[in-house]
Amino acid sequence: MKYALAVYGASGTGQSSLTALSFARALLAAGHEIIRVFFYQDGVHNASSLVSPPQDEVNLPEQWQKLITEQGIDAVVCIAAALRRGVVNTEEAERYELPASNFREGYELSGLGQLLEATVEADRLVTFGD
Amino acid sequence: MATLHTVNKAGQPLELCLRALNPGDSVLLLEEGVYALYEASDVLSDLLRHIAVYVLEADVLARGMTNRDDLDIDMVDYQGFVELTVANDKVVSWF
Amino acid sequence: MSQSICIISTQAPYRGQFAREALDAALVSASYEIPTSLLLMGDGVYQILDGQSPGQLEKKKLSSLFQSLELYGIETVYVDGESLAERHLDPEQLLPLYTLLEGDAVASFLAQQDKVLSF
Repeated sequence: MKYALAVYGASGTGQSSLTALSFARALLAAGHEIIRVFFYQDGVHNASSLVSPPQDEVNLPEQWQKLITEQGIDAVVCIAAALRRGVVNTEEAERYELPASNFREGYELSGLGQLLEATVEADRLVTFGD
Repeated sequence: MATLHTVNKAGQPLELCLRALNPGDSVLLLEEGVYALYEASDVLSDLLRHIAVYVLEADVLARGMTNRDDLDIDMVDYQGFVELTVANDKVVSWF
Repeated sequence: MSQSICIISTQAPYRGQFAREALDAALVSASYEIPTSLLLMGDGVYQILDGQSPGQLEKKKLSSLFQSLELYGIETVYVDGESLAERHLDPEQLLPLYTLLEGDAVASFLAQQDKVLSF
């Protein structure tokens, strides 16, 4: 089946990002297709390259990135939500004259329309919020 | 159209879920929603008369909880979570 | 693109970006010409309380965004009647752009939807 996942949480606010990651792995293990993971609200922090927890804690953005790049998953981060929260790629950093960028490779910054498109196209939409 | 409802807290998310249920739907308690096993056991035992209720194993174990032997609630792993989303026509998340 | 999407918004206004970003999703969905409905439940019903003046918070008035829904083809906002009653709110205290769903109506409304996006 074709799945779209909407992820609204980050490791600092709740468990939903971790639940979503475990669910995504189980989906792929069962042979399902993830047509898009859309990171929205605080979920945009999962695309930050500056998250660096202590060694004995899971680095969620790193784990997401690993899954996304290894499996070739279409991962989209809501651009408006990301800019609000200080998650930016080099292009946006330049556009808004910001001193740095922190966007992991493998994700794409785009609009909310990508969430709605995937929602309609997928057989199942699963939302993960805190 | 059967729906899987995921519930991640025993407060507002569970309350809102209860009024959104149709016969044939299923409920999966996850994250802090697993505390409902004890906090809201009266509600769950009523619910179980016409709705299937599941609980996510990883979240039960993480919190030092146990499944209720006196209630007919199935404990599922993430694979079981996936199977529930396949078996239902859509998923509604309450958080 | 004839699938219907229902957006459920359950958080109070001005708490972070929850309500605002749920509303944005509804607006974008409708602008893609997807049949879109918006359902307020729980603390989400506070979003259409009339007379909001968040000027001192330096925030945009959420209720005025609700008034723009119609421009995108969302003509009514569904409100869970039980959530209003629990909060001792009268329907007259709300912006006049809602349809009340009482009792089992919430469950049967959701059963008709193809996809549900919660916030």
